[in-house]
Amino acid sequence: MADFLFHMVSEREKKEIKKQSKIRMNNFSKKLSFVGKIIEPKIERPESERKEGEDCQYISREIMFDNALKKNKNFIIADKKKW
Amino acid sequence: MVRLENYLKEIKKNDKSGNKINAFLQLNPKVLEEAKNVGSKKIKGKLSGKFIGVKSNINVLGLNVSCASKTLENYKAPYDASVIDRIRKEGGVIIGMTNMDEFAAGGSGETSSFGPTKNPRNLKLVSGGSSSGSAAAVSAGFCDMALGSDTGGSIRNPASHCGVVGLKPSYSSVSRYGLIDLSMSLDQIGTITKNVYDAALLLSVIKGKDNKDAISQDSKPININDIEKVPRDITVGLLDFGIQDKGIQELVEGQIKDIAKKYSWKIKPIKFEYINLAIETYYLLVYVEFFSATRKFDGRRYGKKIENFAGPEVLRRILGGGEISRAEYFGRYYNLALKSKKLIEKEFDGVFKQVDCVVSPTIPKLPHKIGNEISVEDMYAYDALTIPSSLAGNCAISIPGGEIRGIPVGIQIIADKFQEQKLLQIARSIEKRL
Repeated sequence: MADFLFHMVSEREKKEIKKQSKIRMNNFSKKLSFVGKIIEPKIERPESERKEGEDCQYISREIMFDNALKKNKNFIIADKKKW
Repeated sequence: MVRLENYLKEIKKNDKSGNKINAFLQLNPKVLEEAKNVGSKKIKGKLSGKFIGVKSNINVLGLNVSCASKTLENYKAPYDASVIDRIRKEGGVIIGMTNMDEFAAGGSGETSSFGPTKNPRNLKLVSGGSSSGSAAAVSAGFCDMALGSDTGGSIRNPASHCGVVGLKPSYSSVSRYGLIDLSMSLDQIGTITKNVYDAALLLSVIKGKDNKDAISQDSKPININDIEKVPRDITVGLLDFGIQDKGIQELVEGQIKDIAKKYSWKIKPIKFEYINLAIETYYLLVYVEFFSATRKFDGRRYGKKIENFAGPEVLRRILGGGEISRAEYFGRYYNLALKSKKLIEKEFDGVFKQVDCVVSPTIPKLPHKIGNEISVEDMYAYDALTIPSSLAGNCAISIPGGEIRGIPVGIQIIADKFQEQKLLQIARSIEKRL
């Protein structure tokens, strides 16, 4: 228990805050642990997904591919320190 | 000009002296000049003649955007946030920067490093937070309206405690360019006003796509003329969520049932399976995102190093956020919270196929006395009813719903994403009958 009024925090208090925060977050995480089993993460944004249409700047795409050192038909292959 | 002079007189009388509300951190030194300019140019905008307070985490050129923290104590905003641009174009005048919980980390208005904001309706009680000064300023009659930011309830919570109207628009419907962030996946700028009509008016000005905020998007414009129209064939979802303070529950349910009867609206009890995960989900997200957001306050670019000047609640989130960010490898914290957020969002999507809005008390308990000792968990529980709609990205509004022992109690109305017009019409219809 503590009041929530502002005060400057000592190093000792910081250590205690850090310890208590970690405990609290672990408890929060435990409460959510079952969620991972019932929902798989995936991106669901069919309406806002960018589609390549007439508005797409194909010239930028061509330039990007021209600049690439390694590529295949649809992908630019980035080599470390060569790009 | 007479109204401005009256506001300034009232601020002088009761903000730093008299009742010592402490709603403003800085008054705009050019407010008279700016008001004269608007008058002389005869700008006939939607907000002509309106004086607006701004939460101290929103950039207003030349004013101190301190986030109520010693860290940014002397930091002046180098530009106007997009919402401020829009307000100025419509003739609104910024009267000053309002007090808040430090870096918006708090729900009571007590964590400001410049002292707590008092509740104008009962000076011994907290005003609520984190947009404490904005709500108190409107409630105390220091300005016409105010801007706040809402991450998990930071507009609706103080609006409820101070007896004013607080609107959190749908996530991404108002540009956050120029907002100093707490948690970017949840933050939303919104309005605090004396009534629902003013909320609609201010929202109609600030909403809309802004190229400077990549997530912002356009949605149906607000039709001010239709705000007075009572919507027909409405089904109101009444949230079935047992709260400790039965008095609050009974007051809100009683009011809504009476009003629904008068308008021939249907009532449907709504139970959410995962709503009891909301607080844990929210704080796991906020701790991590806030830790990340505050890395720029390293003492080299903006003011001072945050770890050396922040108060306990800000440090709790930064130090806790740092710890769990380092331990995230197994996806036990942030990743899990993202999944839980999706679960809650899906549940809301399903509910809005059955009802037009969901109604509940805004806050499950009455505000405590300033400086009272309270556990962290109890403090976080203030936002138990506001967090779920924040996680789902819905729009929500708190309107004054009555009083218990002279203390205001807010009614929260939640509508589906981008249904602000419907939300405001329902809220205005309820407001008329209270």
